Amino acid sequence: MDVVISLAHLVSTLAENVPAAADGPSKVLNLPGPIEAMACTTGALSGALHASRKQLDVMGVLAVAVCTAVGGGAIRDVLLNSGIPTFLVSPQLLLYALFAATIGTIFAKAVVHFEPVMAVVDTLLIGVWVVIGVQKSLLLGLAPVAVIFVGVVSCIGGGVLRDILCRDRPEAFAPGTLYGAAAFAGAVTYVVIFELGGTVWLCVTATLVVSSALRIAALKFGWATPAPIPLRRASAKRP
Amino acid sequence: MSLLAVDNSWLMGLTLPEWTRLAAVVTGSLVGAEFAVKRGFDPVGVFGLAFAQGLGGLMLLELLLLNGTPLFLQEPKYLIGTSVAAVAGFFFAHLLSRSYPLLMALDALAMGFLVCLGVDAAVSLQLPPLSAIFLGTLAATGGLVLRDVLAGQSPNLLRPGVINGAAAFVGAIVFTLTFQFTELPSGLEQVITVCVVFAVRMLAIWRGWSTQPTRDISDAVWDRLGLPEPGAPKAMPEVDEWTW
Repeated sequence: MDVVISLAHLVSTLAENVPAAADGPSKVLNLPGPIEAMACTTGALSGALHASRKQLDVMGVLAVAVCTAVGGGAIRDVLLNSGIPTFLVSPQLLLYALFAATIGTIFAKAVVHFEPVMAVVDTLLIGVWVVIGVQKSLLLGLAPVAVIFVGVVSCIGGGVLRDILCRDRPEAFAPGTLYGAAAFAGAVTYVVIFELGGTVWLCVTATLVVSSALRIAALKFGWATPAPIPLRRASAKRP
Repeated sequence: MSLLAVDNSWLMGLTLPEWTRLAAVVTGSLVGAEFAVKRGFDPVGVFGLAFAQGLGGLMLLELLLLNGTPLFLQEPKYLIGTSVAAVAGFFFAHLLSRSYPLLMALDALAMGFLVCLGVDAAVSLQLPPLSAIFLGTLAATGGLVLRDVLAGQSPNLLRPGVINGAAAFVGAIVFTLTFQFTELPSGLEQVITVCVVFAVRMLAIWRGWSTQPTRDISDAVWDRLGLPEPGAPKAMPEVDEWTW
């Protein structure tokens, strides 16, 4: 239900932002607080659940959870070198992350029951991360390829950091359900529509829809990213 | 020292003298070198791990906060310090291992210095308290985590063992709280923080205080509240089945 409310909030904010484009094309859309809070909370919960299976101590689980929540944004901001990272400047993000990490640590068994809900939220959030990353880099006037890269990195960075700290192979890189690929498609959508002169409103909506739809379809139909496909002549034999 | 159009304003706000930073870097490098030699790394590995542990925390802090070239690249003394420590570690690791308690004491001091560095940086940039605690802990423990990742092992810091990262966390909290709620003269806060970190770490090593794997308290809380059992799965799914 919260998801619906937050989405409604997002849409209303989008609508509010359109008139602001009167003085030149607006490139930025400030995401409403609830969405950011949800992004942080979900990241921290997933990090905490992941870490508490690894027999880490309290500090370890908290550290992994917080890194999962803020890692993508931190990597993005370090890459863009655009001042102090957002999660350090705004006081609430770390608080959400820490709170969710604590809940995820001590009530892991109960939180596991919300896994399907979290999966849905997580799916919707792919697009949100991509939008934040893409907009930040568009503001800095980067080339489209770089914009797409930053969008994808800010989406999968937290998960990759989590897996490195837990010493797993990063899930985002392993063949499996589309996650990075959904982010990539979302970022490409944003950039293409932006280059074609679409409004912010259109770009953001299309990105959210494309990345969520791709991810949901992948989960529904069992699509998986392929393992490497060697292109060689049929007659060529491996030595 | 040439400043390459760098916004170093937070560096000016630091209270602890500069030698504490250098001392912390060199100590971290010695510990990293000893670690690498014990595990049979080659000279490049010893150098790498010494750099990682000595400069890791500082580097992460500067990546996050500094708008320009990291300090350790601008001021050669940090790199010279780690290099000397790495060479010393490569040839005299046995001496270091023999005086391990002393090394640990120095390391606890270095941890205190780094906590102060991180929190000081956040304070002079007027970041919120929680960010200050985060940065203090990151500066003090980042090197250790980076070293373990580079050495290809699961970060020791995150696993149950003798209290380590928690000491930095406590120190950062103490610093932030004293800064927020008391009017202590500048400098005294830092001294208190270093003392707290040192005391916690040393007591933990001496008394063998160690952390436990996290425990789930859902069942206990649910019982106490008289709630129906949520039907929690007895065993959590394996990590491999975890798809997101």
